[in-house]
Amino acid sequence: MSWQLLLNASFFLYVAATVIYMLYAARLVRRVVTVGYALAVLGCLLELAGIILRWRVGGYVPLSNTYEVLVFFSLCMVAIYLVVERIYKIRAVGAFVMPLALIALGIASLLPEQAREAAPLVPALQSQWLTFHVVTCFIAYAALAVAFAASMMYLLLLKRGKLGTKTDAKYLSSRVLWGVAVGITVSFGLLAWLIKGQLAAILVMFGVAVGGYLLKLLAMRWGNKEESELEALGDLNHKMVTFGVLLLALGIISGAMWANSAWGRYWGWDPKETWSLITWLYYLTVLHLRFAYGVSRTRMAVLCLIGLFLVVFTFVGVNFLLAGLHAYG
Amino acid sequence: MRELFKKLGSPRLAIFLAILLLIISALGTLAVSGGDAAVQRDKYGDFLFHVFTFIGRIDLYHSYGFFGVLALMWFNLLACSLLRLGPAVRSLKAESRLSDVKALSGYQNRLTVSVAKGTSTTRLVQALATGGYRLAGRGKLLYARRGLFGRFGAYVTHLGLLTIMVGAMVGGLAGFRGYLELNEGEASQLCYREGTGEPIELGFSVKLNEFQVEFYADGRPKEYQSDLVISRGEENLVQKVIEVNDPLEFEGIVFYQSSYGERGGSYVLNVKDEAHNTIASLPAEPGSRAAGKELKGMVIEVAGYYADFMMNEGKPATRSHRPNNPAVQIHYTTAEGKAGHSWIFANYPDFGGHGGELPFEMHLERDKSAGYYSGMQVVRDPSVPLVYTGCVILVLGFFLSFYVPFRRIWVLQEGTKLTLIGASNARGSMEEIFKKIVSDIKGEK
Repeated sequence: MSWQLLLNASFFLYVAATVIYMLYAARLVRRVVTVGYALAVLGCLLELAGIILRWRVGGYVPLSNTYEVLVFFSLCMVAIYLVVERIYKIRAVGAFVMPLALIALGIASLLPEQAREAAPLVPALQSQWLTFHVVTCFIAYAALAVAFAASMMYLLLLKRGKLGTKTDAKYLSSRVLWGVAVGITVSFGLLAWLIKGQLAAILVMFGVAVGGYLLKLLAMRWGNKEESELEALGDLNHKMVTFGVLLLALGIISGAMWANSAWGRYWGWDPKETWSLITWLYYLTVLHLRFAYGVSRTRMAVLCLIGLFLVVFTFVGVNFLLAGLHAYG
Repeated sequence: MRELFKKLGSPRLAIFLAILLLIISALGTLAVSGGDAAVQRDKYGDFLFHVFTFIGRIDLYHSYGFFGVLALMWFNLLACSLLRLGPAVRSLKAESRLSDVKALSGYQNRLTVSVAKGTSTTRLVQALATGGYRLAGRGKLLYARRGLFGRFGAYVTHLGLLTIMVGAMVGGLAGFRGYLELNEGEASQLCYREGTGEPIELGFSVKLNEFQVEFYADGRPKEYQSDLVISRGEENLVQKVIEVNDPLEFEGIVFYQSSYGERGGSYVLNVKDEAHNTIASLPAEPGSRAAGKELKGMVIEVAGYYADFMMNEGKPATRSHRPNNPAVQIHYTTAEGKAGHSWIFANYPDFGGHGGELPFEMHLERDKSAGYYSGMQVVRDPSVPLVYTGCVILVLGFFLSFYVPFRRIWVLQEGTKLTLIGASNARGSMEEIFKKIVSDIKGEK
């Protein structure tokens, strides 16, 4: 069995899980969501098996090019989500996390054939730091993506349940949500354009727009209009942001130590370094705004939505738009 | 002074500086420096190209303005932390001396139970200790806490950041970054400063014994390494084979393998017959000649060698000593006594007009036995241990502030009535904790 087959299988399992989670979010099914969870767990295990198989085939830890890290990214998102779902028992967030994992896997499979093949490592990548650096960075990105999903759910729940204060309501105006929707659509379009060209961009933007609208229609039906669920979502968001900040710190530091052993400098203002620092500082600022200034959970949720754009830009945008040492990552 | 300190430590300034730093750093990544200007102008358009090259020219990350922002941030972080540390410690002390339960009315976590008459304080303290709560004050109210370090996690994190920033400055002031290129067998007592090329004394001699490179089947380098020897006078002090990710350190100066290339001046002119057999081989140096039976009475002489060929005011010249575009000019005399000259380029073997007079093919090829030069980065950065220490402190601080919740429990005993009041900097109810402690007090299993 090839690793490719395993990854394809997990892709379809994720599709099925996504559908079930969305139906659950739309309150069309209830108990069946357990099946969705089981499918996601199975998909996650198959994906892990696929990565391990590729490791054995390629002879190196498969975390060294865009394709490999995209696959790993989707694995991290699903794995983190499956764990926190057990803890926080807010299953509807899956309706947002699972599509993100699908998109990551989808973009990975859009990459040209030669970018997907296992290729031996150039000397700079032959380091024991590689695995630690990439793993910490991508767990961080994944945690921040889950924070995005929780924030999205939080805002929808707030709007749907007409909860929260008047100031909260201001952030839920259609303008903000439209802004986020257009932003997401355009950035995915840009990404597809950079990878595959105009046609792919149009298709992806169309897909994201239609999918997003359906998701919104479905998700708006969700919600018990209970403060306790809001509380749990806010708490989940906070936990994911702190976890992401810690892991990103580890990622940046391990990157610095690696750079120091390879090039004799721990910091060189390389675009990737700089953008990861920007992302990190951004989330630190968000945490300070929330806990030192006491801005509302709602504002924090909006800030976490914006934050994902920084994450995505740091991850992929930098590789395609700015020159630097990470062109392979 | 006190006023200034307070202004400097304002959290508003902190947020402002953080956002400013975000924006400036983001702008800096747009910098364009080096590369082909015309290509980039086409790519970005005139206006953006000017903006980007401007950012590249002022070298944003090393500008005084950027340094100013970082310095201000450093003092802001220090002031913010110090201004809050004192009150935090004082309020902890005040908490432990509380005697009036009314002062705790703000805390929502509470539980009132009745216990057996005569339950001793020792028993209460023991139960608290089992739950990990250490007694920190005993008056009318018992006061116990857990995770005290968690309360100070943010200060630890700030200390880490401050240390890293000091380290970065020390490195910038006290260190240097240079480069060195050595041919096999060559030694040097100098390296050259990055950017300016100004020579720097190493204080010892470094010699490249041997350079080796291995390739993958597709031609990409797999591994390259330099065998270095460091000596002073006659004495060899250290020998090490360095490769990418595995440098050599000596007296605070670190040699990193960074590049390699083909050695200059080591080309040969191969003369081949119709069957592509090499019948003569001349070093690509002016004056080297070949003649003889194999050449059928012809005489070939190298008139000039240019490692990096270019035309300068209509005359052949070399742009550098690196063999980027090696070329030779040859003079020849045929057996019939007819003289002529020709150019041979290593990179363009099909170029060159022999006028059909030469019955041979001539190729300018690298002398495989000549070897490579090794490019190394030479760095002295005394700040590395300081920066790494700062990183460890930073991560420790995050652990403390995110994963060590700071909780306090006050216990009020009035006859058989026991009231537990809790405060926590983590979210979630303390109900479970209270229940556990109460069951310990009551001696339930």
